[in-house]
Amino acid sequence: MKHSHSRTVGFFLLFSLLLALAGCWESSGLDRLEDLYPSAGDSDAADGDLDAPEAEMEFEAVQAETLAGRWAMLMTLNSTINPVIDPWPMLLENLFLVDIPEDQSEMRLVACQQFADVDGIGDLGVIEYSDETIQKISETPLTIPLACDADSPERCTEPVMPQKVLWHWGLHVEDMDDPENDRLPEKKDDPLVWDQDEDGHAGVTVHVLSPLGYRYMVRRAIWNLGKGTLSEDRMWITGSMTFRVDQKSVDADRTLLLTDAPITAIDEGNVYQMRLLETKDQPIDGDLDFETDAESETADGDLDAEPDDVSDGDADAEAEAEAEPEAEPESEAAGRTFKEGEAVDYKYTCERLIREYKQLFDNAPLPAEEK
Amino acid sequence: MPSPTRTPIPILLLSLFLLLSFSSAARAADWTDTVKFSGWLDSDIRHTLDDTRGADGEGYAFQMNRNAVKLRLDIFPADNVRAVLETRMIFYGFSNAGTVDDITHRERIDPYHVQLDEAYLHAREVGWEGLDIKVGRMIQNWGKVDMFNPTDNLNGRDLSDPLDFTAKMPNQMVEIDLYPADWVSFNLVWIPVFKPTQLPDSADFAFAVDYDGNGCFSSAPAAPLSPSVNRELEGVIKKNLPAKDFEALLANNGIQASDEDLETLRSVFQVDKHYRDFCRLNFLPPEVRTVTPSLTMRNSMAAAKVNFSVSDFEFSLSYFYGRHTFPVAYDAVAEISDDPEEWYTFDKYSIDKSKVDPAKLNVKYVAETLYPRVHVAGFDFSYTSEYVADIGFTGEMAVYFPEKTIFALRAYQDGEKLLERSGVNVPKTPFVKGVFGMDYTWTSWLYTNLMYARGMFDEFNDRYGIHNYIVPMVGLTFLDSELKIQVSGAFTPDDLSAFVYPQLTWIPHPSVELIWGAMVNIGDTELGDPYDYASRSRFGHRTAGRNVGFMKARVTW
Repeated sequence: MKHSHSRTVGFFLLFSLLLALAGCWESSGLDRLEDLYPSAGDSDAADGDLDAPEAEMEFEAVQAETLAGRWAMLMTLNSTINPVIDPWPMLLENLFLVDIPEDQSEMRLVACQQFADVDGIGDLGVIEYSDETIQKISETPLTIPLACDADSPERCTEPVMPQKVLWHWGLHVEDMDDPENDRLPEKKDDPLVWDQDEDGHAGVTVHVLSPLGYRYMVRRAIWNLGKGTLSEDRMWITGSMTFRVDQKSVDADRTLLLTDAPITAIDEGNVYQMRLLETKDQPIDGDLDFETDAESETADGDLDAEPDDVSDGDADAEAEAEAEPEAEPESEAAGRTFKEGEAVDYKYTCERLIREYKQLFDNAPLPAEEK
Repeated sequence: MPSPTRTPIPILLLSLFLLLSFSSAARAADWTDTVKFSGWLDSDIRHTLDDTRGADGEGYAFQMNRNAVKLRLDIFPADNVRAVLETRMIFYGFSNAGTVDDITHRERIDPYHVQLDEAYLHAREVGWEGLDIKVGRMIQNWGKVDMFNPTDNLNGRDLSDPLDFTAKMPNQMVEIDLYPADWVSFNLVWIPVFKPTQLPDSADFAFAVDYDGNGCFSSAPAAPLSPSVNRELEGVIKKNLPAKDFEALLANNGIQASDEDLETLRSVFQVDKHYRDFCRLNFLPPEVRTVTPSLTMRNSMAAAKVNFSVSDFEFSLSYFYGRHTFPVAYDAVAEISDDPEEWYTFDKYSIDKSKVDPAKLNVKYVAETLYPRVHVAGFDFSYTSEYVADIGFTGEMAVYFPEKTIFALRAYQDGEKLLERSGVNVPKTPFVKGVFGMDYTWTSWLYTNLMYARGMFDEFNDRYGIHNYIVPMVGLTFLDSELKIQVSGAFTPDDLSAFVYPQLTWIPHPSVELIWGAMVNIGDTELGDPYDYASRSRFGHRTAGRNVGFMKARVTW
């Protein structure tokens, strides 16, 4: 009998060892397709391929013990938009400046811009927001609680907890019973409609490029943020997300634009990526440095640098000063902090983020589940 | 109907004869002591009972006219040695002859098929009285529950006959059995080469393209991605179709446009270029391939089981490493072209040029599937309680640790990549399949069995998911068991579909059975959402096969 017991134990040891090997497997259809149909020479611009090879870029940036500081956030959201009849692919990019206070209890998002790239016919369905509209939207920041332990905030490695966030435009949500699900108002004189951009038209004003005109609308975006993970160098926070967008035209300057253009989320490939820009103790000037291989050859005195290029030299500082004559008021708006006594005079502005975000996020890591 | 092979029957019969002769020579005294011969002869006629689950225009018809013979030899050439040989010969009863030349060939007029179900040697007490070895072509049956065994993953399934859905695909393997004590035994199995499940003919409908009453393209199979991505892919294709009546389209979408706006819309939509007549779309028959594991040791499969027997309570712990034997969607490519000669992927797949219509927009869809690797940890038990009215309890549970599988989709137009999307089809998260059942004999003529099952054979937690099933069975016997009525079936509350499988069996003489019955599927034949991969009704969709009535006669020896 003792003999058989030892056999049983051996069997289970083997069993446990084999089970431990599980979880290392993956078969990727993407890799398979690349093997079968190599993409060399393909343009990846239209396909929303978030795993595209990344440009060589080197960051030398602030290193911080805590998360407190100013961050840039890019949300990349895949969707379709149906301007009249058929849905077309649309890539939405939401840009925010994000401030995290010293206690790391929450983060506040200030909208800088939303870009919508519609893969359709000409400019049909393409929209723009005026600076004034975005400025007014940014004055209603979003506050998102963080998961950091107040007693040991330095250990915060998964700061963003899974949660639902409501972002609304042109709506008096405080008067709604269920802001996430209530039917959106359809008439401009509905008391729920708020002239948020204060331009005299109901809701927020959207400039439609084709058919040309202005649509006055209300919108509600619901984000289901997945867990956000801090990178080892503490420079990035990344996570996956899903989302929903509801919108209604409450008025328009031509009848045709009263027709809604529903946006339908695509579940895959939606991510948020946050990049640390500056901290209280390490101001932006001289600490955020982008240097690509190509640029490094002409870095000194490169007065013809693209607006995306930001480097240390005096010429760049001058160019920056020249490029940001209105930086101060925007900085004030975006630099508002959460609690009395915690005001920090951050320098990095929305205007600069809009110029630099392509380069800033070109090398950004993806959440583990999106790799 | 499976395509018949040309295995020469005389050779098979000669082999059987030689085996018999050899065994009788080796045991000259009386060869019947060394050979056990068994089998059955079965005649099976089926007719379809519906005209909704087949191909368009198929109508009502005989579905099967099959005669099959199973021959099994158990040969005992020496003490503790057994050789097992089990073959099946199947004659389909439908002629494949379509030409005058065909009707000069017997095998085309009367197609047949021969298969070797089992062929292995079994040696007992090899070097030790508690050690048995089996080597050869075998079918393993693990688990305690009737029919649905999530711990049983060694053989693929043989679903070529939808009514015999528990049949398995034999495979070559090596089995070592250890019997160290009365209350415990071990089974160790090594399967050098993976062999997949044989799917039923109706599996083709999973990839079928649908057409409307005018013969125009209606819908294509959804990829295992989100519905919005499938809509997006369709949008990419639709954008290339010629114009339809645009004003009517606007009206159908509730859009009242003034003449001025209509002209604006016509201009910005480039109506003549983009709106869109599905009758001008020629969706070629989709091509679905399987990526088969290479013949390396790394792709061998192995399993181990320890069986315990404690009084009336029997249970097993098992482990399996191998592959899911049903194909799982892996990738797909759709290519759009007016001129298929220009297709970027042209040389990567086969095209029946007779199907190409140069006057239309041609779309070729090529998909690949694979067999994901998996670890399975299992537990099963059976117990008949004398304290609870002699109810028999059985159960099985298996935890699957699957290989993560990412599905990817690309669309090309004349060689240019239009779209690439991907998503997790099988997450690496472990999932559970399980069965729990009870059976009870109420009287000498009434027997019932009820099972709950989570996960059917083919389910692997891909985008279709794992479903729940209630599996009842009622058996009645009359006239000293000369007449039997059995009604079994399965119902899934997940999509409210079911099948019912009633049978009436008359046994006029011992060993002779005459059976009348039907297999009836119930549920939505159409997809709930044609863009949603998971919206297929389990038993209602055409992939479940057609409803049939049947009559069988079988003699067993």
